[in-house]
Amino acid sequence: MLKANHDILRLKNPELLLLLESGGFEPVVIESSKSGAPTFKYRGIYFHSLYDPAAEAKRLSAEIVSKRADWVILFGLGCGHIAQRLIEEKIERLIIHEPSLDILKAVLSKVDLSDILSKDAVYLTHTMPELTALLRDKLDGMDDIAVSKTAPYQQVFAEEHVMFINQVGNVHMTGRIGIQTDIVSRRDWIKNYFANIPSMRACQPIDIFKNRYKHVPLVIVGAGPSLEKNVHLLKDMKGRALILASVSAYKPLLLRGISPDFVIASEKVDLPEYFTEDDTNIRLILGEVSHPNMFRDRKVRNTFIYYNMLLQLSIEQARFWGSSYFPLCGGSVTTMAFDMGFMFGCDPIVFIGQDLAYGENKTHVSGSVYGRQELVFDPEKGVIVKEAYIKRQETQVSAYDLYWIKGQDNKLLASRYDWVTFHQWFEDYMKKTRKNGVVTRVINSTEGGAYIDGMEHRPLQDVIAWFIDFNAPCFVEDLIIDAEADGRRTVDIPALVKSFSTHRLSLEHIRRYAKRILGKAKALKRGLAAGGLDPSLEKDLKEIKTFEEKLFKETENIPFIWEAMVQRTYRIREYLKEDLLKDDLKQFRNDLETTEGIYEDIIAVCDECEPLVEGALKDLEGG
Amino acid sequence: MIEIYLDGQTLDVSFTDETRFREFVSELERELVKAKRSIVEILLDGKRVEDRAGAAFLDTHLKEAGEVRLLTVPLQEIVLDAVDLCQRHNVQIKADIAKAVEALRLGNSTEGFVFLARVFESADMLANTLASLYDTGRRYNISLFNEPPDIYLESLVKRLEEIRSAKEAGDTVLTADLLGYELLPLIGEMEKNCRANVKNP
Repeated sequence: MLKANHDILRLKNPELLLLLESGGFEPVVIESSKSGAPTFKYRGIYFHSLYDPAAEAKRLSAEIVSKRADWVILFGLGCGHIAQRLIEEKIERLIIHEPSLDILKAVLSKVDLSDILSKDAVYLTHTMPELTALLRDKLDGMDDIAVSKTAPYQQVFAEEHVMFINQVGNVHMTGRIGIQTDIVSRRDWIKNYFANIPSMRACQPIDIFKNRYKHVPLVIVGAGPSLEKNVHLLKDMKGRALILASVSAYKPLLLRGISPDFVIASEKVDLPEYFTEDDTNIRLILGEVSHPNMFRDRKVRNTFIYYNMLLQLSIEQARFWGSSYFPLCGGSVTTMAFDMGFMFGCDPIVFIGQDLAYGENKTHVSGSVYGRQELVFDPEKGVIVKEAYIKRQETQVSAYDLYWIKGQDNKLLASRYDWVTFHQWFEDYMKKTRKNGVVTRVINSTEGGAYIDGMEHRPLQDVIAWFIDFNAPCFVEDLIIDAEADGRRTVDIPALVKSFSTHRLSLEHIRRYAKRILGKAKALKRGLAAGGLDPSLEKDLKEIKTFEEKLFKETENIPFIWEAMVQRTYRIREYLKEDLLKDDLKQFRNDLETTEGIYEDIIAVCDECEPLVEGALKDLEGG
Repeated sequence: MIEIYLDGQTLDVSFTDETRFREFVSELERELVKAKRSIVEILLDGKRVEDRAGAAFLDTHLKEAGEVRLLTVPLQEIVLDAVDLCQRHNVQIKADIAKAVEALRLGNSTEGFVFLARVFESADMLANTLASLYDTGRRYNISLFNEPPDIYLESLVKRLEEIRSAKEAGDTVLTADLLGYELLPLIGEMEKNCRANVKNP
């Protein structure tokens, strides 16, 4: 390998360098094209023009360049002609995935690509997990991406190309889902948090179970269609393994005579259909942002709360409620249950019903909130799901885009955007866990469904044979009760009162500054209408800036205000990505209108939050 | 008794019972060369002769026919028509090459190969038209080409063969290269070689 290439790889991707130095590659001859630039033939076909590869790269990259994406993701490095061209065109953020070590080895031995590879935001990957990790790390849901491949790479590495396209699409979609969740959910979460204050005072945080289940097997039960196949085995495990069910698996389990030790739920909307009429003995793990009705009619001693790191209010106040544990979350309750399993000290952690893919004509196990289902797969339109939902009279028809995920049998499985998101998270979590030296065994005993990289894949019978001691008495229930008795904690009311009082004061200040800014913006508009862009406007602009600085400073006391403003924040980011207009006056007007929008929203948020904060203070001071 | 018309005018021709159209047409064409005209249509007893070079027509005895009408046009008209046809083939072939190259480079091989088939078709027609034009020029002793087109036609066949091989090997890059860097310039050269493209004969 050329020294310059070697040095860069050692610095930026030592694992790849190690692979390339391992030897045993199919030889690839790098030839000179008629223009002198390098090209090569692999598996009988040319990968670059034999005449003028640089000119061809220029043509091929023109379309990618025109997209002006935040990231360009290339399938195939080849001799680097396209990458070189993209860099010449000022594309600064580039991920290059080279599926062949044969090609990579030959190219890096003959072609100096150090200039390209040394750029800060140019990354070279070879394995799919490496690509996935990089995409997850670098891509933001707001980023536009352009994916590019050349005909020979697509032709020779057809299977790898399909995986590549799926993986890039899946990671990108996961990011967008995160944004969508932010936009749709944050305000509801904040409202639910305030509404749940009495419950947070009364119920224990989940922290009390920390390390209570050292080496106790934990089975996390999802409601995937495959649950049907091995759910009966849970009866054998009851009492000797902790059974933690997602809320959607709760009724299917009851239907089959299994009562889980815990049910975890976090829905921000009220979903009474997930529960039975007589489940006052259910032991619940609820998020602080769950719908208040989830807490209603439950026994306080059977309800445990966890706090989300995604909510500024929780980050600030969880410790005052007696909690210091924030479960990591991948978007579903089973992802949080997984993290809790580690906190509980469980080993092994076992999944069942975690399909993360469509089953045969089903999305969920029978007995869930979905009645009869009918799935129609259409490569063009995606999947159409006709289902009878428990709460509704009429059949519900929904269409989803199709996503593809690697199955346990190595074949691609049809999946849905949210399941793909969870899958990405599980793999990422496993990778980080192993990197941190955690040795807890994690076994995916789902019968079929997605393959989750980093987990063992074993049937539940094996888990029972290995870990369940039928000679020992049942012990799980006792451990729970012991933990409840030992883990009493106190709520720091004065600290909470102080925190909410600061919020109240800051809301007042923020509202006042926002109103002043709006007043100045209106004056600027009038000035513009009268005399156009004039230096006399500068005074108003300066004043706006001063008020903005004060307002931003004040928000440091009440950071959740930005979460309530999240929709506007994303809109601003989109706005800032737009091209500047040639017409300065028009641009200035647009900027001014955007500014007005921001502060109108801030005032609305203050109006909305103030009574919530007042209510919280009344609850706490009154209690 | 046969009646013969040349461009609507009665033609007095002496012939024997043994005279066939082969001798008659050949003699008439010799005369027409001098006048730089060429036969473009023959109607035999009101019916158009589709295959004027075929034995079925040429071996027929004149005495068996009732009426023969021959239509001629000036040579210039024929040449211009042929040149026009060549130009149209050239335009088509160049457009199809461009589309095939683009599709193949972008990995749309199915689409690329559809255009490639059209390139082959147009190249075949171009070759035939050029050959006819060259023959006509030779017959009338007019130099329509800078160089005999045969050498270009040989190159054309060779290039098309190479392209076919690259396609059969599944090498879309090489196929596109040969189309863009070899065939396209060749078509340009063939265009330039035809003097008729520069000025009328």
